[in-house]
Amino acid sequence: MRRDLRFCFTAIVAGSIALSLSLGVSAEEKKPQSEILVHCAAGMRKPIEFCAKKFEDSLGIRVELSYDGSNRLLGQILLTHKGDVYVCGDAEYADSAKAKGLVDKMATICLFTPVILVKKGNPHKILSMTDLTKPGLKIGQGDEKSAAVGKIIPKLLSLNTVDAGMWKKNVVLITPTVTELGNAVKLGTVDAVIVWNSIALGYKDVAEIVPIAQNVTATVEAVVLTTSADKTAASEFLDFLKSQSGRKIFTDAGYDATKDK
Amino acid sequence: MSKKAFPILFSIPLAILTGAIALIIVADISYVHKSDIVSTLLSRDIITSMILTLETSAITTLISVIIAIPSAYALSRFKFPGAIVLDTLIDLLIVVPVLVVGVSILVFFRMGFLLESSPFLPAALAGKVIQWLADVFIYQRAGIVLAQFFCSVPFAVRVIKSTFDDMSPRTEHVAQTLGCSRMQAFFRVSLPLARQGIFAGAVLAWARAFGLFGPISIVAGAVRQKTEVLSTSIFLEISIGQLERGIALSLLMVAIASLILLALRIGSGRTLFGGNVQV
Amino acid sequence: MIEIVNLRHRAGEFRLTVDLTIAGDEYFVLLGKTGCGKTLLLECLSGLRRCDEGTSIKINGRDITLAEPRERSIGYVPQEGALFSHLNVHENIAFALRVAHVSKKDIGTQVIQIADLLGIAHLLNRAVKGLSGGERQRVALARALIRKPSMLLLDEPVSALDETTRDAVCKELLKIQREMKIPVVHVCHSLDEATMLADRVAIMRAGSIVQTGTLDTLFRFPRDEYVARMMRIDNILSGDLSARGNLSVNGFELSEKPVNGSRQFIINPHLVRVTKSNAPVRMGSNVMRGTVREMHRRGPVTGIVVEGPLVLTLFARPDEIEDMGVAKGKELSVAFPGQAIHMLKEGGISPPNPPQGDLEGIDRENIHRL
Repeated sequence: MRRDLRFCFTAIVAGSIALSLSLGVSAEEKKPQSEILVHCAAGMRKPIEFCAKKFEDSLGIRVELSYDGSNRLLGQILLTHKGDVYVCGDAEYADSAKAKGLVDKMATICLFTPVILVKKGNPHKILSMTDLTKPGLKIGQGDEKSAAVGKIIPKLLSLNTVDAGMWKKNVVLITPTVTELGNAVKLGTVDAVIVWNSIALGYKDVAEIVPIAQNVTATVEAVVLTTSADKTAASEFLDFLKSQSGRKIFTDAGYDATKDK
Repeated sequence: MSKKAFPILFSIPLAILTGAIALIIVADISYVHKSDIVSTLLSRDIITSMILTLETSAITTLISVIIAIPSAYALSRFKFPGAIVLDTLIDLLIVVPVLVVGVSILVFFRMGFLLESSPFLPAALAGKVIQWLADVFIYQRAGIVLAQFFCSVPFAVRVIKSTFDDMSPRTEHVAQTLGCSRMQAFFRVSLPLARQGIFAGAVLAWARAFGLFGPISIVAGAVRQKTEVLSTSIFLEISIGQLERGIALSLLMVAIASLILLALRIGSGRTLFGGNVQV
Repeated sequence: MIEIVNLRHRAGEFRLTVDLTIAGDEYFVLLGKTGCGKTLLLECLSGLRRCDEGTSIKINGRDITLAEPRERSIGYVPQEGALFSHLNVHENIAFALRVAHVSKKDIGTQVIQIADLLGIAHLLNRAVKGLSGGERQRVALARALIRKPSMLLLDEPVSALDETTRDAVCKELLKIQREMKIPVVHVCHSLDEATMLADRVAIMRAGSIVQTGTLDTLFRFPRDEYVARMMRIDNILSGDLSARGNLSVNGFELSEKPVNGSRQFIINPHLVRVTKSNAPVRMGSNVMRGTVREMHRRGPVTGIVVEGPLVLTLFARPDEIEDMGVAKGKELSVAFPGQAIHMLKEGGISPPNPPQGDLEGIDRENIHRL
């Protein structure tokens, strides 16, 4: 019996050493000249991923991408003080980061426009924001306190002269980030949501976009963080995002990266 | 109540429970398209993510069990004032939302930075050590294991402690009279007798680590190919509206977990078709 | 020889206070009800519990008061055996030898030896689960004895067994003790076990020893009512003083005077006899007339309860009863000698550690047997 125990013990110890080594090794083997850590808002994933690949290929600087909601990312950065670039889905977060002394350089890399997203076929015949106040409709929107796409709601309502009270009556879903809103329409738990146009494009198979008459524009900012250990590389990434090739990638992905800031 | 009524009555809640689980899985399966599954599962990212998930959950389970066994034994056997407090502390890890565990870990590492600039020398030294640890864990693979560990170990401790609680100390006493020191009595008698409980604790710890998401993304980040585990992959897919791929990955996790759990159960002596095989 | 001097141990509110000397070849039985501290005492002796300051425990002159259990050379069989269920019978028995890194060959020989002694050689490859109660106890014994300890401690070894098995195991216990020539401390609550096995008995109550001696001594000269009841003595009586200063119960005068202010006494039932005399009863002659209230079998003899001024129990064989024509409701006379009367110390709990040999001159046993 003791022999069995001893064997098990050795096997386990050997196995764990092997595993740990493999973990460490696979992390070690890709250590090129330099690398940067980019905190990227989940909604910006597609274009930034392509940009990162292109950037890596052309400049040889490895880009590590970490995704989450913009506000959660900001919280993480505040706590960990690690990261080179922060791509956030609204200028407000960038401002917040600036106020906290985290911003070294900032640049607008693309524009977001909010749109109404409804189920394909537009069964409720929604053509404007006012239409959404029809009784019985289920609306989803971002949290006005924590989601960039929620913060613009009050302004949108007033610009389009929509009754805020009636609007609120129809709101059944309030989310902390924008990505859940698209899924809600896809799954049919709501009738319509207010999301960014770029997000909406990802759902074009199952949903329809209804433009908003009187609209606002939100800017997507990319920030070089003061916590960056390699500000040069970080700045180069920022430049890449603003560059011609960067803008092309954005546009191809359906993101609005027009020249004006 | 007729003779058959009792087993039938008790089988009903079981049927409802397992039926609901099965229905959800079936719904998931019918939601995905075959093409999604193939493309998702064969992508290099996902394979890396899967291997990383298996590796980290295995290491976490190992570390959890190694720490849980003596801790559970101490809690069970040693009578000291404040044992209740320690017990409660461990339970707190289960009660508190896993997200809070993750954030708290980050807050702790942040303290290192603050302590470093303290004029009080021991504090500054402690700060330096914590800073160094922060570099080891944050946004690194080790961070995955760290986050998984804190969420898994309390389960292992709970199960193993109750195993030792149920074990009469008399057998250890006899071992001592037969020539064992307390340590020897532990390794020769207590540990082998606790085999089943330790195994159950390990399975629970592994299951927890395998399926964990929140604190991992906070401590280790959701960095593609580096600290991306399967649960993170699912999150990333869903976050861009790719529900089908997300569900496909979930089914992948379900399949892997089923295989491993079944294998572990059979390995511990229970046959596939009911009944216990004496090991 | 085992010398226990001033053994003191506190467990919460409970206090253990014991002084005892046990000869090197003695089968010593500790008799007491549940909760009297018997198990606690064994745990102190085996070193599983630490005793208070001032305790001294010596085995054959070697002081083991502070020694670890494994250094004490003690065989310990707790209640229900506590076998190692993850090992088979052979491994259980061999356990102590394996810990001591004895060679495999020697282990094999010694295990077979002790298994033969206990009649369990045919069980060696069996798993522990599925052994009968008697088999388990034998395995536990073999396990404890394999290193030839200097002392064997048994905690209620046969309490959970059926009578036939119990008798068989007791026979073996005696045989082993005689062959291995080691002192055994056997703790139990059954007088029958003590009767079968003991060289000497100690009655234990609330953490201290009330009386020590051979069964005969304890039966004839119990110290107090508690001991008398433990020894299952039937005639425990309480009396007053007669005019002449003798013991008197319900007006019936006995031949003895009370001693040391105590009014409680026993009348040894084995010394009470039926008399055929029809002469009128003289006061103080220890002859009583009464009616047979009931009769009950006690093993090979029958107990006859006679009710007169006193209620007395006496024993007789069935054939004697037939001869005498004793039956329920019959009137008869019983008589007993003066020495059948023995005074009990009054008051329930005796002071701790009655110095052995000094029981108001009533104790007639020589404790120190060497």
